[in-house]
Amino acid sequence: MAIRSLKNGTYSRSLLVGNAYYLPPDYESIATQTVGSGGASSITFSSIPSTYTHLQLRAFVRTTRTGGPDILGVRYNSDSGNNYADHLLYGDGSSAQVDKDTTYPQQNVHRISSDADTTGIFSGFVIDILDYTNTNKYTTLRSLGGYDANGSGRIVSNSGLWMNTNAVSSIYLFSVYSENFKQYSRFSLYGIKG
Amino acid sequence: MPVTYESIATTTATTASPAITFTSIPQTFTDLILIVSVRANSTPTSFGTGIRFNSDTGTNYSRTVTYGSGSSAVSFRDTNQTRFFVSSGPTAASTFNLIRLNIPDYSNTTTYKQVIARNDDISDVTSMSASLWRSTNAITSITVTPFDDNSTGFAVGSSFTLYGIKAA
Repeated sequence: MAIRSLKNGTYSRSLLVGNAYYLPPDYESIATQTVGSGGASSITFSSIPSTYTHLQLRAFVRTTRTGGPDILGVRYNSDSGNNYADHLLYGDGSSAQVDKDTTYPQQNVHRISSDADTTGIFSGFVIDILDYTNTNKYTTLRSLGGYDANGSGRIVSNSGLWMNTNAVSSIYLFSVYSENFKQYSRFSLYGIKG
Repeated sequence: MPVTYESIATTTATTASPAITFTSIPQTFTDLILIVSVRANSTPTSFGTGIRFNSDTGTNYSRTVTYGSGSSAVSFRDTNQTRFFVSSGPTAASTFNLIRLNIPDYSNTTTYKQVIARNDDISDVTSMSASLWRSTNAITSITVTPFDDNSTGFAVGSSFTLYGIKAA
């Protein structure tokens, strides 16, 4: 037997005996922010629920930088101290290389397309923030992202460390080169239950 | 809480298949994820898994790839292609490529489409790639095509599953 919402008229299953059982989803959308016509210097997800096991941030991004590609900066809980580190493996179309940052004021997630690239080219990212509520270990991030621009671009596998045992309750995203995120850039945060 | 990660369609090859196409893709999601498990129907000296959107056979595709072969890490790129490849081929018997493609903002009509992919082939390489489709059209169909020098298609048991992810 279906039940009908008085608010919007949609039908859904009821939980009455005899109906198929309902399994709550384990992958849930928490919030999304899409950049409007004026651009945005940063994006913040605050009051992140602590009811999940992992977070996943999926992003589609371009910045206003004209001097070259950009880098996505990630900070947690408004911590701008030198408490971050990262490693990366990347390919630029001609060689595979590695790099790292230590005692940095943000995690660097590579690499964002910018106004140095052809119009319409955005970069894609899938960023996992693992065990973000655990207060017994530092918080780690992994990312796969980058972009191709038909003759340039990079694909990057990133890991990141926040040397702090606090649970992550907010995420601050910005251009490492202090540029703006372009219109149509989009950041979607999801929670994954254990 | 609404379901945010949904299976759109899945198919498994029961005969050797020259291509698999997902059509009439709903425009109600934010991102698409395509998970492919494939191998060639024969043992060609070269094999790859190609992707086209909306049956576009123009030279509108490109990619940047990094892979590790067990002895070295390499990066290369292709430009102005008629499709983009997301895998090389498995050579060991019974092994299949496992490919995961992330396709963000597939329905927008303002930007070009970018695909971030991982390919794992235990008998050959592990790789990651960024691929570009230079079109602002919304993606309404995806065709997965084999490239191999024997043109024998995907082997029986190759599987293709398309998921949609909704954002809040």
